[in-house]
Amino acid sequence: MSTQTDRMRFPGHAGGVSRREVLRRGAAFGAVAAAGGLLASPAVAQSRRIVVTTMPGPRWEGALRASAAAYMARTPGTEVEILVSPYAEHYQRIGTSLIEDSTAFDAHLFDPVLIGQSHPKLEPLTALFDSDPGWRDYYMNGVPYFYRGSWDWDGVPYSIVHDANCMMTWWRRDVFDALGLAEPASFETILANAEKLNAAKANAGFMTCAGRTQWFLGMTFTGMMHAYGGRWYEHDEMDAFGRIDPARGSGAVTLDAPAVVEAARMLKALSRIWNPASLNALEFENAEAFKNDISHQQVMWSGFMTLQNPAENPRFHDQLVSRDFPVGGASPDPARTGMKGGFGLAIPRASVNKEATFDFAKFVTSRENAETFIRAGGQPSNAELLNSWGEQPQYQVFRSIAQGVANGHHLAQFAEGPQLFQIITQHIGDLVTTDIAAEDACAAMKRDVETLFRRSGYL
Amino acid sequence: MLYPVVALLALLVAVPVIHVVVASLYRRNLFQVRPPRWVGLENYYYLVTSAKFEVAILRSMSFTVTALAVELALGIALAVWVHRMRRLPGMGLLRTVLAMPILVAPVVAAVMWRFMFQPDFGILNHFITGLGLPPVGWLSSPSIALLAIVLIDVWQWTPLVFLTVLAGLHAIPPQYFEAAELDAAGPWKQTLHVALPQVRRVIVIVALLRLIDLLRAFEIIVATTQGGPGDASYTFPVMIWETAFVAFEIGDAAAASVVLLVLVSVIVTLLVRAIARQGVVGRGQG
Repeated sequence: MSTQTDRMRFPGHAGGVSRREVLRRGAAFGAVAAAGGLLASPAVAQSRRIVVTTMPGPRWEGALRASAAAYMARTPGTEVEILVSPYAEHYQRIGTSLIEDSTAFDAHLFDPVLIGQSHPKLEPLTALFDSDPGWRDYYMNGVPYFYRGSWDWDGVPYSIVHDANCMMTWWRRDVFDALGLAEPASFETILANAEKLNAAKANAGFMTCAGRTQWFLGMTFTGMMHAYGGRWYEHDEMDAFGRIDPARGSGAVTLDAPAVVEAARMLKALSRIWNPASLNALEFENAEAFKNDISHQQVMWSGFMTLQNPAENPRFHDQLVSRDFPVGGASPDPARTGMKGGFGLAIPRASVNKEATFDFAKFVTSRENAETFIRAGGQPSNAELLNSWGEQPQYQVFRSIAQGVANGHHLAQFAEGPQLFQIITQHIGDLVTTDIAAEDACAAMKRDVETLFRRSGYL
Repeated sequence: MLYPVVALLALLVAVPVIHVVVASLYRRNLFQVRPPRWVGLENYYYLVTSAKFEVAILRSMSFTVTALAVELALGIALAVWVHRMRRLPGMGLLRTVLAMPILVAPVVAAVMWRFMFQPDFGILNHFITGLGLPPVGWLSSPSIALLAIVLIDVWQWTPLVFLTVLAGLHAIPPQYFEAAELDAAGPWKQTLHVALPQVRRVIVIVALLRLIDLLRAFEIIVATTQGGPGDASYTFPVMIWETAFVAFEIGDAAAASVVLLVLVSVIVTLLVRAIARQGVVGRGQG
């Protein structure tokens, strides 16, 4: 028996159909669909789906999405899904999925700070590299050793490094020319320039991302310490890639060495005259400060590339110029300054699409894909690409990146690295917000790092 | 019939707490592939001997006491005022407008205020400099940042105090106020001797709720300063978050969480007992 409520009305069915009829039709449709699925299974088996995790923004998501679209057009039967999540969630996703040996992801946008802890769960790529000698040589020769090595462990590559990032100096050429200021190649010049810029216009002299957020201050200071010839600890050498060999240990913590204290003194001097917004600025606020004619000299990450885009920065896009991170101190070494970051594509061991994912990663870094990758907002890691594209005014920052990724200090690549940055950020924060002297801040920083290293078995 | 309830409570409350306590006894990094290492009370030792522990306690207390005092004073004053004016036209609309900040998610409120506080192009400094005054580093000045965050919290949570106390005032029989008027008590005396004593239990409850919330306050601070500049707004919950999800040291963060849990429990228990002795709530009430 059917009642009025039993009956559903469908367009084109004036009399409606009963619930039983709907179920019957549904079952028939399901059976047909299932049969079709079975028949079509050979075709399904041929199509592959690669899942790549990333963070938002043109540099990561934009460049990977554009590359994925180009790759799919070139490689029928392969679907590349770009899965985007915010910064903190992205790192947690990597951590938890690797621990769980999840097969849900085929590549992660991978920060080298995680390599020490994560490499046993990542696919060693030596054999895959060797499977395509032409690409391997292009990649190995193109991406500077002191950069791509961050994603290696015991000489084995664990990522295809497709993205380059480092800290650098930016300034307004027209303002500098008008005031007769020198190119900010050293911190001593930056300080002198800042005083003159401030005299011309309040708070215009110097700005940096010095907030507590994301250890910006710890990163800036590490770049400065490196520029002044200092190091975190005795075995903090360029070819150690920010790692501590547990058997060798860290050696003595050297955060109170004269070069480090000198860098701290310089940061303190800058903090007395910098734009006060520096103390809580995020990258986008620094960018706004340039766009709105507020500050004219900054030390920042390379994310300012978008400011050279006329659409993003109509007023000053052609007046903003960059150079590698400044040097400082008595015997500056231009090949040792600043701080590098960046990302590669790491393939989890648990991935069931390793070859296909590697093929996609090769494509992302290839010459063939360079234009797509760069125009979508990507910052390539290949020095040849960086230098050739850097000749265009809109991409002049690429030349600074090419230098910075070779010269910069590495991120801390041991499990306790984030805590090291936290400690540096804490004490340098004290230095620039209180009356504490550089020597005392550095001594306190050293003490806390020694405690951390003792707990971790490095000392 | 009691057992299912007890089992559910154990599942929802006891199990996570026990999990955190156990986690606090291990040294464990989220990204460390090697298994967690048993360290006993070592995480607690390093926590209480670290300089940031003292800073975090101090900042949490400053933030809690300041925000609680302002929110209570402002919320009660607004409730009394709206209650007295309740018969005027438009008071319903005013009440709704005053309550609106509660509807905004804390992180949205924080981001909105962060933009308004921006020293160079924020709207607040736009007005301040328009008056010929120097710009204020709301979130970038170490001496002002915590107060600016208190301001955000006051904006968002004073309405809770206001609405709760107002509900209590509405529940007072009107005869009480009529009798006071017959005794020639003016508005101030009516408030002091009739209204507030009648709603003191409501005030105590809302104060306790705000106290607990403030001791755990997190979203607003993380979305505005992440504890900076320097350590100017580095409260205890921010320290726990930073340790767990920035430094990924799960053991250390678990130890700090246990300390915060104990701290909040002790403070609230002591306060409830003190208030109970006064006869406002609990066994001593009349």
